[in-house]
Amino acid sequence: MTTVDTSKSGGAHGGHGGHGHHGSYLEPRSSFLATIWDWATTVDHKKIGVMYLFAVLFLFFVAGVLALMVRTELLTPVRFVDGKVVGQELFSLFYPGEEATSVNKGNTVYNRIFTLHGAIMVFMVIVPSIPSSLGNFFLPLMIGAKDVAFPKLNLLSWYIYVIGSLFGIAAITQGGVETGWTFYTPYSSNTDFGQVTLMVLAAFILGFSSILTGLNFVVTVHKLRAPGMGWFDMPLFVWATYATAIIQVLATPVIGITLLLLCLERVFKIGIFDPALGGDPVLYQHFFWFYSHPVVYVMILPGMGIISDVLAVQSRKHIFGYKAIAFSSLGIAAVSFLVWGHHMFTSMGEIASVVFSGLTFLVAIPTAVKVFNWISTLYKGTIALNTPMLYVLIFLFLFSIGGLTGLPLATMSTDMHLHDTYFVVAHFHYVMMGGTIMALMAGLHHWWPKMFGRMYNEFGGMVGAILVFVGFNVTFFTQFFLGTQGMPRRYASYVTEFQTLHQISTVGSFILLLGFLVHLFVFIHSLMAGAKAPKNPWGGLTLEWVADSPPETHNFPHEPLVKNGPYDFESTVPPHWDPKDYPLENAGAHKH
Amino acid sequence: MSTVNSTHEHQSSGGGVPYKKYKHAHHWRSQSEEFDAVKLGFWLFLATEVLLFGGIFCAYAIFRMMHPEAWKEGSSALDWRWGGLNTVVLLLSSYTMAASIFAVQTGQFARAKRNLLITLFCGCLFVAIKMTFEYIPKWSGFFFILDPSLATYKAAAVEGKTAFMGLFQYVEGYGGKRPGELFTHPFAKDPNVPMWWSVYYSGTALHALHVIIGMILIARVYIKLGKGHYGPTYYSGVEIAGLYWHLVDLIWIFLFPLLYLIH
Amino acid sequence: MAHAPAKQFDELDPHGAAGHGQHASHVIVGPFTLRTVLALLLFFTVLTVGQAQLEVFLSHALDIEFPRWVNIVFCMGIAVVKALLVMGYFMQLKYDNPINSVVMAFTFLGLGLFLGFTALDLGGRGSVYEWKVNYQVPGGTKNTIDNAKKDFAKDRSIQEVDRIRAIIKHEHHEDHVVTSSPQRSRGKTGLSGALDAAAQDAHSHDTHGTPDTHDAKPEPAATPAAH
Repeated sequence: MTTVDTSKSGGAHGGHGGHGHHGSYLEPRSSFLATIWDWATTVDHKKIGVMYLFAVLFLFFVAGVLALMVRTELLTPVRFVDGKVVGQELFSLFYPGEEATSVNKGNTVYNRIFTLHGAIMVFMVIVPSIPSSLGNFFLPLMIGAKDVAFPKLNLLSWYIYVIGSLFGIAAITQGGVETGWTFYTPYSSNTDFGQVTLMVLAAFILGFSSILTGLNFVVTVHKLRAPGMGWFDMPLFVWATYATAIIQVLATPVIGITLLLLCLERVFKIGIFDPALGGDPVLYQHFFWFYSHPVVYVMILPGMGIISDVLAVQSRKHIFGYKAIAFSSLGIAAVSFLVWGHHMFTSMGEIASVVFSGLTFLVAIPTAVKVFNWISTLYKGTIALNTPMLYVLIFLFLFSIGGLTGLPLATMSTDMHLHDTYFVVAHFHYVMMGGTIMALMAGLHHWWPKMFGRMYNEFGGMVGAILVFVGFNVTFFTQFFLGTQGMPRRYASYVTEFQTLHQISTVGSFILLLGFLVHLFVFIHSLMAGAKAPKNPWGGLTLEWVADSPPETHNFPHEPLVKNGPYDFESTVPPHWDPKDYPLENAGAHKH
Repeated sequence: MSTVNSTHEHQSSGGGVPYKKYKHAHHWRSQSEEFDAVKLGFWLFLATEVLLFGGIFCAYAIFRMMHPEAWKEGSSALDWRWGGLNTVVLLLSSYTMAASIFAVQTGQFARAKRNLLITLFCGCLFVAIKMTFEYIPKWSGFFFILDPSLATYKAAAVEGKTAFMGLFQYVEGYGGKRPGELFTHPFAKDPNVPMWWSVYYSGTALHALHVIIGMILIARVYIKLGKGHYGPTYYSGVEIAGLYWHLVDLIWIFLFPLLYLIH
Repeated sequence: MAHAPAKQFDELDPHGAAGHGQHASHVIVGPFTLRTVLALLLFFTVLTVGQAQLEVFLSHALDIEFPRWVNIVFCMGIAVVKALLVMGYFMQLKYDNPINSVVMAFTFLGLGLFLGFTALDLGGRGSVYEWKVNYQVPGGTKNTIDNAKKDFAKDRSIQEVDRIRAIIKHEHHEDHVVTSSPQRSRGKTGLSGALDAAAQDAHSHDTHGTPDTHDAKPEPAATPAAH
């Protein structure tokens, strides 16, 4: 007995009902060109989500290749031997055949490579990664809607993202940027090199994409929930996406004005960030980090939402502390606006530093609430150890390390030593990659059957996951040691004592590459020749599992009515499952 | 069908009035829900605009804290009468915008169009006053010949040095009030005064840009109103343009005292 | 225990097809209200301009100086009132779904946080160490490293440590006093190292007793061997 009512309710259809079954959203049109046009002008959130997904994954690989170049350069320190420079691997890559007599060209190349890695990863990959791809696809499905609130705005968001990314690629091909992805003044405002203005404009444009997506999601969650779905009947992925959208709307305009002022500073020398004209470079840092700190929570919150949902489904257990997790998402969003100064301890005054340090400790609390609730959910659950679940466990391990290593950085006394060292680099890679990317992989594998109607190869997925996990830890755990021993970040060279750790780290990065290549192969194989996916392979209870795999164009044949909670595994037979396969009397083991 | 064109179905059955046949997008249950959602969405967008200007206000506050003498000198160079006139112009335009919404809601189309035109005219007047009487004299030293404050600078007016077909008269030692490195006014007393001008120009220029965007939105509404797209049963577009215009007014309500009145 | 979702739909008409769902506020704000609000706005504009000009007049003609905050509070207060009038009546927040007002309230709160914390930092630099106050002078202060060293040496905490060192030396008759010091754990290379050394030199020459040679010598740290 299904408990989600998708049957026609007695005669009441209203003006919009009775669509019947259309083809899946992936069905091609009459000709190849017609299909391209269909995708180019679509306002269907699913198609837009898929386009974002492919763009994000492609740019992830591009930025990943840049990261591999960074790690390759750091295999050997740079030295002068017999009047010639040795150890600059990137130099021989970019200036083949030339002899380096000074380190400058090689260092410039290195600066550009790591800046581009950071800028592409932050602005073009991680920020839109989960909200714009999986969020776009599943937010309307999970609340039982036909689409997001403003579908045309969604398409505009996508095109703004494309244009912004093209600006970014233009900046790269025209010589790149050396300032670091943070564009600190005065380096970014006063020096005549590279394409800072282009890159800054790219980030400005991408900000608009983020704002419009966030706006869309907030209105969608407020106004388009299916009948019967109150706020506390929503899946936790929706809560997380909602909190993310609020941050996107409130924080992104500030980076807009910051980058605008930076452009004015560069072009017209208005002097707002220039001490010689009466300005203040630390003001730039305040402006920049007022956005860039909340944005890291934009990066992680949807990932946490994915973990909540995937974990509950894959352990077939009611999530522990639903309301606590829901409110902690909002709490993280709120506190995230209060802590930006912890990126600037070494440039701020003492009073402000103390205040920011204290507030930063506060933000660990809602995060810890989530982690404890997840672990409690796992306890006595029926855990299916498949690729999504493996990635959930990987997330729990890596994100906890990342979060805990944030605490020495929040403490002023230790931060004085760790600021701008590899400790920071390791910390944020653990939370951003060990957090967001692992959650993205978990979500991708969990929802792959729903999105594309194909199962992926489970063994391949597991192999990829293990390779990624091993490679990640080898790469980044060593960087904690590098950091505490004093290796500064953004340096192309280093003291000989650090070489072993750097080499270990580089080896790890190539293992990471292997892991992701395995995943790429598994996904391509799945799309071409994967087994057809059932409508509800994992037994989830949320509304997206009611729809077809892949969903039809209008998501549901009729507006669903919600009669059960999203995680009531002990009392509900999952949609499309035969009650004979899901005897509820056995599921009563974890009553509470 | 979910392509770009499918949400707004106009029945072109022989000269029907579009607003009467407006069909809400298919994913909404009713038109009133759609209207509510559109409003919420636009308020969220207005929130982003407020935060955008927030950066400028923050820069103002911080630099005022750091360079109070420069701020005193800089704001004394601004004429509160032009700022006040601009304020009155914008407030009036806000009123006429709200009045035009009222007119559309009650089906008085001629009145609505008239009010929209007045709003547009006020917007143009705002930009014109700003350019002619504030930006151009301060930047270059050229006063409009009908400018009342030209009388006070009669002594410094350079005879014969005019520009733009004699419409602008050059006054010695007044111009050069430019942002940052471009500052060339020779009589500045405080060395940080160029910062004042940076904040002034970036704030007011960004605001003027939004005035122009608002005018474009209103012009679009005016044209669509003429074609009968809006009426008592469907007027979201007018409402949206109105909200944007009121935001522009709101920002000026804060910019005016900060720049012109606080000394 | 099964979770029963909130009864948010009418059992007899679950999809709202009969059209009795939530209604938007099709409130029509009449011309009387609009004109009243306009009149109020113009009045407040006159009031705020009047206050500012009155202050200027009084300070020039009668030499009466008001404290600076009066002007700011008055102007900003009136601006807030005008803003509330525009938002409430022209933008119809008063008649709308309260969620719209919540959005604006949070926006202004965020703005306030931004301003407040930034001012806390950039305005509060001198609270602990006076010499950390912003010295942005266009064209530079022509301050040299020696002046910086002298400023650093005037640092209260260094004076305090030296005072205690002197006491220990005299009272406990120790020639070599090792005290913990925040400067000790900082890097001894570069500017902070040189400043530290200079400060130690300056003070050990000023105070009685032999200079602490152990603290005065900066330890050579491993320098990166890059070019």
